[in-house]
Amino acid sequence: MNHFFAIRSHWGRALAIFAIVCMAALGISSGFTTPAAAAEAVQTCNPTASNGCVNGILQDESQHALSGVVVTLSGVESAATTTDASGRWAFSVAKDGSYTVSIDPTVASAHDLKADKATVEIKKGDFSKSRQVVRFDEAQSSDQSSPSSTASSSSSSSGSTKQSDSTSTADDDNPWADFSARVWDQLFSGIVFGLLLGLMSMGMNLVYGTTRLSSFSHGEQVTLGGLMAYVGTQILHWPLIVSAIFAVVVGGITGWIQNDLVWSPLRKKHVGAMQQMIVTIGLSMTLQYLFQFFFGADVKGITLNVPQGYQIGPITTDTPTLISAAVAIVVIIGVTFFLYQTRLGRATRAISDNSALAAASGINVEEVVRVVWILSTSLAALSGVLIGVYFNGIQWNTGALLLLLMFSAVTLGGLGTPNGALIGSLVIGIVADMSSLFIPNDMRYASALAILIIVLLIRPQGIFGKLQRIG
Amino acid sequence: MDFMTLLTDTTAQLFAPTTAAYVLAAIGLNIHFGMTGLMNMGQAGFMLLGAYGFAITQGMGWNLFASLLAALILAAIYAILLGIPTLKLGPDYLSMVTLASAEIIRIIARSTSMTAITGGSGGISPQNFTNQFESSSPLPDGRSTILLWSYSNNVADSWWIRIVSWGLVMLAAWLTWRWFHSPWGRVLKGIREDENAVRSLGKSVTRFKLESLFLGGSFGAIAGIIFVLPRSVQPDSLGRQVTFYTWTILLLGGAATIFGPILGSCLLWVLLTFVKEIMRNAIPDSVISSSQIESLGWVIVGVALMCLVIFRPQGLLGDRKELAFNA
Repeated sequence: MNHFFAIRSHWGRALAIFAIVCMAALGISSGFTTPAAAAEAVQTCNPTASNGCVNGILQDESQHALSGVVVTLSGVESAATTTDASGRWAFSVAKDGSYTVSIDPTVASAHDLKADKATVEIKKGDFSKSRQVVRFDEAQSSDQSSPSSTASSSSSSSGSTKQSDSTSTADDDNPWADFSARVWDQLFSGIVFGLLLGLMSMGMNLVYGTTRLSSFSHGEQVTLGGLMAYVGTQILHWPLIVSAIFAVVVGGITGWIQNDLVWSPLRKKHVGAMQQMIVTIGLSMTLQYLFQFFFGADVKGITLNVPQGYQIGPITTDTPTLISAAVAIVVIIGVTFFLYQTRLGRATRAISDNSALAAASGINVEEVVRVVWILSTSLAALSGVLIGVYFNGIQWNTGALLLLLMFSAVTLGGLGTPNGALIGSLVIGIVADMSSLFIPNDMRYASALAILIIVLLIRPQGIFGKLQRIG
Repeated sequence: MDFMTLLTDTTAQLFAPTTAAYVLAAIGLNIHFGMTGLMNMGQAGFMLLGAYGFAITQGMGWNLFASLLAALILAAIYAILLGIPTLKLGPDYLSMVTLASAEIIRIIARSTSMTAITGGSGGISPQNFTNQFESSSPLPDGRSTILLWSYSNNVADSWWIRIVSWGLVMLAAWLTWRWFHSPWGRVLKGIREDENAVRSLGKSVTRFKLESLFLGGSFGAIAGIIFVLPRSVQPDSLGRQVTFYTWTILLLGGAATIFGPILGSCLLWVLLTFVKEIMRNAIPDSVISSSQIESLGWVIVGVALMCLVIFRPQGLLGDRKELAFNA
């Protein structure tokens, strides 16, 4: 990769960084080559001689419909869908056999659902087995996919009361083993989430470091990446890898345009950082609702077929998760290498340290800041793609929700220090996911935000920040 | 398109209770930002606390004034908790922390585990907290039509709430006018312009900032009450978008001015309603659906905010020389 950096001009370097990010996006592809699934998500499903149906209405105990929840089907065939406004979902399947329907366990625990997984047997043409109705509000427990419960659940929803009895006894058996399994699972998902968050926060921190601007629109750059990947895979029917590169390129271009059109003129006019920050708020609102305008308010899945999960030691995972994490690690290493081993990277750090001194020693600050903007938005776009794959979909406000976690992460690590951003993100990711073991799941992001406030009380400069007189 | 309906709907925004609620929130923000230079990005947090403090205590059968007091006390506690760690730090930190803590309040309030107290994400419905307010009205029951506009006298989106809310706006405007020209207000302006200079005069900057945070926050809390009275308490309707709206209003009218928030709020809502109504009537539903028009309304506000800050940061009424963007 070194010959990239032999190119002398800044522009060559900018392109080189860009190429690295793109290549990283390329890396995603290999893992996501999923088998063609004949099962498909449908609006309503009616069993015929050639297809069977797995469907249901997702609602909580008080019969409130849960809409926009991703339901995934695996087994002989696989597919995924999201529940509609009234909580309905349906799959039409072509082959006989057993299917497992699952929803995000965090959703299940947030709404007190009895299960997040159910296994049913489909047999076309059989009166009682051509359609299976799954009710998560009264189905069997998630860790009970043993053959016996499979058999009982296959006799459709009428057998559900019996199952919930067996669930309660099963849960009493060994609560501690269940808890420790959850600890490992949450720790793992926390690390993966932290890595993805780190990818975004690094970009945000680079911009802050070089321009002293906390960009509120960074979250929208993440959403943009995810939505562009959705456009690529689902509308243009490109393979995921091409879509990911497309998303990163679009992300990078928006960074470039933004810098040249808005931020660079504002800096030239010596508009204050606070004033610029309010401009980013306006930009964030504009972009967010443009996304809603064009893509609607529902969750957009980037990949619709769902990979087979498997067990590694104490944790359950699947290929896209592992590859998302791997891509994140590779890119983070790449960016660190760029910052510490290349001239342009050193220039970036010099500007973060002391912009005036860097300019005086012959560094073209404007050029470097432009590269930083392109890099930052490409990283955001890439993380948006990974988040979209990892969470099974992206929504118009996904990035806006993540923005606060990014703020916590960069503050924890130290404003303007890229390594700090990574460490901060890992801590935030792990805390957010682990805290759901102790506090209600829908409050878990609050714990991450609480860290932000505690950090400011104890060590306002963050873990890696330099102590300086503030205020 | 029916021109009279358009005219009625648009001008109704001039004195709608929601417009008044935003005026109050913006007046609070004006005390923070315009007077003291504090970047509070969590005004919605104060509004949420006010709304919940009022609605929950009303549900428990408290007196109206006791509930109002509860809301203000919550705002005071919040201001202190928020202020102590952050006021000594730079404006970046204050903006992030206020934004984050407003979000924490919303996340906790909408959590399913809080359903017994806050009603979870469903919130608190009006019959549980508006009865006392409605029965305190001296107006007779029924509906009245004044000129173009027809509302119920006392129930829900009523004339009574309009009278009370705009009365509060007058009071708040008068109070801020007094404060702006008091010795206390001059210290705040001094802090805005040069903290160290004020510190060198022996004033406790942190104490003044805390007072400013609390006073502005109390207006936020009252704004929250006014905001929820004609509808219901909904945690998600008081998210950070409300804060951003409030900022747009303040910067549109002009920070550090008395009438800026009033002008900003009336202008923003009238124009926004006008544009949305026109779009709804002129563009067929098949081209742009009504929910998309809502999104477009937000886009307009976002673009307006960007353009304002770039091209006219002092707003309509403000004085460019007095502008408080010092970072």
